[in-house]
This record gives sequence, structure tokens and C-alpha cells, in this order.
Amino acid sequence: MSETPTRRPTEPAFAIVLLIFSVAAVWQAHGIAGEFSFTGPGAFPLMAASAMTMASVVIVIRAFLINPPTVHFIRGLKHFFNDILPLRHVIMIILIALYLFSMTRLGFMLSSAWFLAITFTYLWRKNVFVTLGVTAISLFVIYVVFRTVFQVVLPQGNILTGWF
Amino acid sequence: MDVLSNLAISWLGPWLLFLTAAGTLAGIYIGAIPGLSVTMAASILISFTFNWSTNEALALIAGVFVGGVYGGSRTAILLNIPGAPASVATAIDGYPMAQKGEAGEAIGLTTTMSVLAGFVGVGVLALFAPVISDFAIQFNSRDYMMLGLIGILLVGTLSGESLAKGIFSGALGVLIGMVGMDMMTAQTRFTFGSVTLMGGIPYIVAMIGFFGVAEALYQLHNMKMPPIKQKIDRIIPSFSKVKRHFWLVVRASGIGSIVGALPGAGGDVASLLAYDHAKRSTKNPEVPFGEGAEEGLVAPEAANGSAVGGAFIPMLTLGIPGDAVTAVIIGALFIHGLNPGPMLMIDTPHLFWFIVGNLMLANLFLLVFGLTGIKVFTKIVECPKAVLIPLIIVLSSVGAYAIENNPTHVYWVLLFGVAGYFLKMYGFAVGPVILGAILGPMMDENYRRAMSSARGDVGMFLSNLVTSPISLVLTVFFLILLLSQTPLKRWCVNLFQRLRSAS
Repeated sequence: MSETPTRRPTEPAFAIVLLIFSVAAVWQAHGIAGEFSFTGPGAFPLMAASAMTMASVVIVIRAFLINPPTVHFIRGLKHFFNDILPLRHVIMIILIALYLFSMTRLGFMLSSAWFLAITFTYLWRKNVFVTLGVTAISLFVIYVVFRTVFQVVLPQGNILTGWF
Repeated sequence: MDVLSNLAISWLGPWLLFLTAAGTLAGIYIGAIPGLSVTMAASILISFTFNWSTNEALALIAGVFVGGVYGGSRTAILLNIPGAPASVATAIDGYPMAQKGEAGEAIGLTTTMSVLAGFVGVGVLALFAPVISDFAIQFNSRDYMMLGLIGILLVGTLSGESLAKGIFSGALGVLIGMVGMDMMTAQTRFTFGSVTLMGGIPYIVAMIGFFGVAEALYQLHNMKMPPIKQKIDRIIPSFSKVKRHFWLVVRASGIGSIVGALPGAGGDVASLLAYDHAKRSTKNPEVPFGEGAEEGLVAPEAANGSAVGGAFIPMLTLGIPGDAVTAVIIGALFIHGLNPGPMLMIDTPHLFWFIVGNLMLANLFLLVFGLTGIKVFTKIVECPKAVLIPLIIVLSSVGAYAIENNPTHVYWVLLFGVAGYFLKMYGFAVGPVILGAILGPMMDENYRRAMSSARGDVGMFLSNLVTSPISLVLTVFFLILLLSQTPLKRWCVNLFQRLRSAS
């Protein structure tokens, strides 16, 4: 374990988010099976959620008192969007979400084809023939390995049902 | 004479030799791809081998088991994406070695030590199976609960920035494991009224999300970094290196064999215990732990490799599966008209020795296949990140879908991937999340059994933790582990030094 934690200006905000999440988990765990019992189904989840809450309290304390942020809030927000969640990450997360959404509708092959082509173009920036070539080879290898060798059923979607 | 002839069955039969080789080779690649689990492969093979003879079916499945357990370390070292939970500890020092261009050496070392440890595990199976199964059967519910707690705490303290962050991650994983319907009472937990969530969240989905997608998003920061050229001129470790780590391998193998013999505990807990042991017992490592220490690579892989032999002990002597794969193998034995349990070794001793001989053969094939093909694997690391990252996303999606053909799982992968990315960026380790998801249900079940046997009395439950010898050892170990990560350790050390200088 590293001895000196790295200073991250937006860490206090993240710590508070974790604390809120932990408290919500405790509240949810407490509601399992109505009346609490040490042998009931809610006991262990409540213990885990409580441990998570205690840990997040320590993390919040360290973030604010021991390792306080030294930059202004607006600058901290800038740091978040420059270093933690820059534009490239936002675009990739959106592309991944669209890819997964389209997989159940277009099927694995079509959705993976457009996803690979677009992400290779965006990240790699080679000419279109190289991009399409690598996309086609990648899809072929993945199909052979998963469908033919390991007999994994790939999502079919509505358009190309039964083709792959 | 009978023992020797049964040991040699798969060595001398060309078809059995081929099946063991094919199984081992397939296992290595199955284990390396997150989303394709050895358990899944073994389950599929049961249906394929329905009409085969018992020996043929066992040869193939055992080969897949041995190869698969090892295969998870490949992607752990090359991409920081463990192929299986048991490879989480391997990534801690394996990936830093790959980042220094030493992936070939790392894989060569893990292969050699995994094989050595595999032979130790098989040796333990052959010579001490009844003794170890007698010991394993003394573990009761609270001991399993403590073992799970120790496993999660270990991985939380070995990686990440702080104990609090490690505990948070572990507890988060436990909660993920709790989602769904409680097996004992059918009470729904964290389902929010959703029918889909009643089936729970498979831990492999969490693993693919937290390790695969999160790592891919994390690597987007390093797009401008040129691919690291890997040195692959030295793959086979030198004799002096093997000699230097030999006793650590033996000790780690011992840990792996014993923990592997505990039903429900397997390579994941064993590898973490072995890593912790290596860290505590190695004074002045050449490279610090967490930055590419060879000891940090050797110990978990050795424990992993020997846990395979250990997992067969309760299966063959008691009819209780040592882990998920041996549970599948028990199914295979039933299909072929055999009855795993205490009578198996008495009624069909040839089967026991056949399995021992087959595991030894699979280990040998592991050495051959493990050391060849490294060049192909290291090329993966030298691929441009712009190509690698989208491919990881696609493979992660297929892997998640392949588990149960459930489209909801791919959405979980994205959610866990984004959550895992933020956790990594803020200094949290994601290993404890996965261990928590795997061990959480086991710990919950054993906690409630232990509490029920204490009649719901908290005082009796806590006193049981210190009155039974095994529970006492585990409880003390857990407390030492916990307190050693707090300022209390430093105060005790300072106090001790002051007392020494005063006297």
C-alpha cells in the first residue's frame, strides 16, 4: 500500500458521494425483511453497508482535514473535467453506451462493426482502408473464437437474426 | 504395481495424452480471456463428453482446469486485467513488470513456478489426501466466514492507497454479491422491485466491468504513451532464479494446497494469503512489492497452481467439491455411474491414481504450452492502445453476454466499468470489490449458520470465535492484519523501541 496518498482537488466531493451512497445502502439494508434479526437475511448486508459507511467517514475526514484540497472550487471543477473526466472519456462512454444499446437491436456483428470502425477512427486516426481492414479482421477472429471454438451464442438482434 | 499402472494410464495412451494436451491448451486461453471461465468451459465439456469413457472425460476436464487456473495470469500481467479472480494478486506485481518491458520474463517465471507448485499440489494430493481432508473437515461455518473476511481484508491492504479505501471496496463488493434473492429465505435484497435483479449479479459481470472496462477507460489517459517493447529474449528463468525462489514456492504451495482443500475456498483466497506471506517473509526484495517484485509474482501463482491439487482432496475423499470446477467434475463422475465420497477411494482406487497421474501430465503440458506462445501474447501489449481499448470493450461485452445470454449483463458491465474507473482514479483498488462479490454470499451463509448454532446470541457467537482453536487462530490473524494497518502498529513499535532503549 502506498504511504503518501496523491492529492486530488476533487477528492472531497467524491468522498461525500461515496458517503451518501453508503448511507443509502445502510438504509436499504435495514429495510430487508422488516424486523431486524441477527440470523435474518438483512444482517450481513447491514454489517457490510455499515462497514462501508464507517470507511467512507474516514475517507471524508482524510479528504477534508488531513489532506485538504488546496484549489478553488471552480478550479477543482476544471481539474475534474481536465484530468478525471476529459472530453475523450465522455465521448467513449457515450459510444460504449450506444454500442451496448444497439447490440440487442442490431446484433453483435453489426453493432461491433460500427463501434470498432468509429472508435478506431476517433482514437487511432489512420486512413479509412486500414481502419476497415483492422475492424474486419478483429471481427472475424472474435467470431471464430467465440462462436465456432467456444460455441458462445452471440446476441442476434432483430435485423440479422439467424445470420451469425 | 497397480498404483504405477494407474498413474501411467494417460501417459501411455495416445488418445488420453492428446485429450490432456488439448484440454490444457484450451484451458490456458479460456483462463486468459475475462468472461470465459474455467467453470463454464468444464460445464460445456460435461455435455460433450456424456458418451465418452470416464477416463477420457476426466482427462479433458482436468487439463482445462490446470490450464485455466494458470491462464488467468496472462492478461493479469500483460493488461492488468485478471482472467480469473485467482489472478488478482498476480496483477499487483506482474503488471508493473510488463510496464518495464519484462512481460516475457514475468510469464516465464509464473509458468515455471506454477508448474513446480502444481507438482507439489499433486504430491500433496497423492500422499496426504486423507490427512488434509481430516483437517479440512474441522473447519466450521464461522471459520469459513473468517477466511472470507481475511481474504477481503488482505486484498484491501495489499493494493490501493489506504485501509479505509480497501474496506470500502471490499464492502461494496459484498453488497454487489448480496443483490438478488436470499437462498435461505427467498427474501429479496437490493432488487428495488426488479425481476431481473432477483437473479442477482454474476461476479464475472462485476469482474469484467471493474477490471476490463474500467482499465480500458483508465488507459485512455495513456494514449500518447508509446507501446512498451517487451524483452522476450529471456523467457525461461535461470536456474539460480528458480533456486532463489524455491522455498517460497514450497511454502506458497503448502498454503495453496491447504486452502484449496477447504471446500468453497480456492485459488483466490490462497493466492492472496501467499502474496501476504511473501511480503512479510521477504526482507529486502530487489524490487519493492507492488512495483514488480518477483516474489510478489511467484507466491500467488504457486499458491494458485497447487490449489488445483488441493481442490481434488475433499472431492475424492469426502465427495465435497473443493471449488466450482470440482463441483462440475463430481457431476461428471455421477453421470458415469460413480459415487464420489469416502467409498470412492476404496471401491475405485484406480480412479484416484489415474487423476493424480493425469494432473501431473497436465502440469507438464502446461510447462510446454505456457512457455511457447509467449511471443504472441506479448505482441498484445505492443499493440497501439487505440486498437487495444475498443477490442477490450468488445471482448468484455461478449464475455458478459456469454455468461447467461442475458442482455442486462452488458449494461451492468458498463455501469461497473464507469464506477471502477472513478474508483481507480481516486486511489481505490478494485480487487477487493471482486473478492467481496465472490466471497460475500459464502460469508453471509456461513455467518448465519454460525449465528444460528449460537442460537442468535451475539455473546456466544463472539466467544465461539476464540474458544475453538482454528477459529482462534483465524480471529487473531484477522485482528493482527487489521490493526497492523492502523496507527496502532506504529505506536506499539515506538513503545517497544522506547522500552528497549530504557532497559
